[in-house]
Amino acid sequence: MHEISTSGLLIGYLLLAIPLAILLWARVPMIPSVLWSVVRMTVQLLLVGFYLRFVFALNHLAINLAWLLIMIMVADGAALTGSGLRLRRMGPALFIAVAVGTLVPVLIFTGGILRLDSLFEAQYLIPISGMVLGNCLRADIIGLRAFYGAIRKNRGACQLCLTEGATLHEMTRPWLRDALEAALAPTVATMATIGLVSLPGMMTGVILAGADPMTAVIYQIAIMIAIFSGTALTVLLAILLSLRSSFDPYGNLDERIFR
Amino acid sequence: MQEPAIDISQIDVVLGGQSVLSSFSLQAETGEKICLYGASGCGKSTLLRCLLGLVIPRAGAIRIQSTPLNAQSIWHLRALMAWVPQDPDWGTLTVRDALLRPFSFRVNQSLPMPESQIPEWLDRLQLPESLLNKSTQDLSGGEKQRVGMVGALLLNRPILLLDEVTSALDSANRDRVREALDDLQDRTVLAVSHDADTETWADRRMDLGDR
Repeated sequence: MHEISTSGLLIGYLLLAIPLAILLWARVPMIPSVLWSVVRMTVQLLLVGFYLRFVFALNHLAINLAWLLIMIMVADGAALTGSGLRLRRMGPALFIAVAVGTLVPVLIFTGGILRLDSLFEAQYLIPISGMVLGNCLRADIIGLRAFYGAIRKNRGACQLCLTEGATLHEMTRPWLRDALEAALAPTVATMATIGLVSLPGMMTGVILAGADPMTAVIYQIAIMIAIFSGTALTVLLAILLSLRSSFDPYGNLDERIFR
Repeated sequence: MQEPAIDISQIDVVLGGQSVLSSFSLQAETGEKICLYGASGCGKSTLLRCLLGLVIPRAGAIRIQSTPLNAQSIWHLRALMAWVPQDPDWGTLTVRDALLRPFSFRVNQSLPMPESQIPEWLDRLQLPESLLNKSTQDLSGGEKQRVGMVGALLLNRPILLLDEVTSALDSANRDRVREALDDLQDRTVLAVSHDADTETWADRRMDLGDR
């Protein structure tokens, strides 16, 4: 693979002159946040680069798992911030949902699809988990926000349903269905158009690294399936596991779950 | 002596920092029909919501057919009460699905499917059968209230809780609802109204604003 030199990367940064000039010209008040984001991106990715080098060289089970755990916890916090819900109430449920939604497809990937000797080999476990986790995170944000937002908005309908004799699960079933649909729709749409509109990042990476495009494609197919099954699993778990802490024992939505 | 169907004892309800009901008590005998009236904001609707476990009193006790209302019992007690809110909301369901929905819940599964009774009740409350395929969101306020009544009557529960169910009805339709209530023997009714004088079916009227 042809490496990018430091001077080459600096030319890459010069490319930023174009968006900055546009923002300046159109007086979009975004320049400070753009600069801040570019700095963060650079620092974060460089740190990850150094760290992954270290992790890959060691390839130690405990360190690989610790890395995964940290990724899941960061995702957990980000999902709750994005969904406008309170961390302390939903945290444990979401942690389990993200962990299971990520680990189940990833372990099937490393063990069943790649047939690695060690399921937790850093070179595979960490990037694949990262991709599945990122999608689980996005799906949980959409799913939780859709679910609790709809229940809050349809308070009267939910109350009538409860008084008709519905259990909490029976009452929330239609909203669960809608939330799953909303959370899964982006992945379904991506699968339907993948390769037509743009080449996915992972596939591009494998091709850039010098692999046969067909190898890249097969990886991408397996990844998309892992992502889709992970998102379905995580959204379902996030909603079902958070029910108990989001409603009072009488089945009324606890408004304190919202920020 | 028979236990009252509803026994509310010294309840305090605070909503949004405001006292809505304080030391409120009420007993309703089985088969008794009570009309509660009073100015809006005096806690009439809140009282019905307390019985249904939708609002939890800060103090006091509620017993339904001698069972104390709490977080465990409420899931069974709700099956003894049919509630018609002032502006029923069934989401996007059609009238037919709204009327049949309760029968899909586990707690009601021993009840016979009421499909054969639906036309009769619709007719009694002056609702055309063609309404069944209409979305509940497209109903007028008066139609919603009457569909809510039909739903409550189909469930055939011993206690009826009615929240201003005639507020959007014209006088002819009001009479229809009253006749239906008059015919309900041995059913306990607790209704809330802003105009008690017209609720001729009631055995007892109680001014909630004057306590």
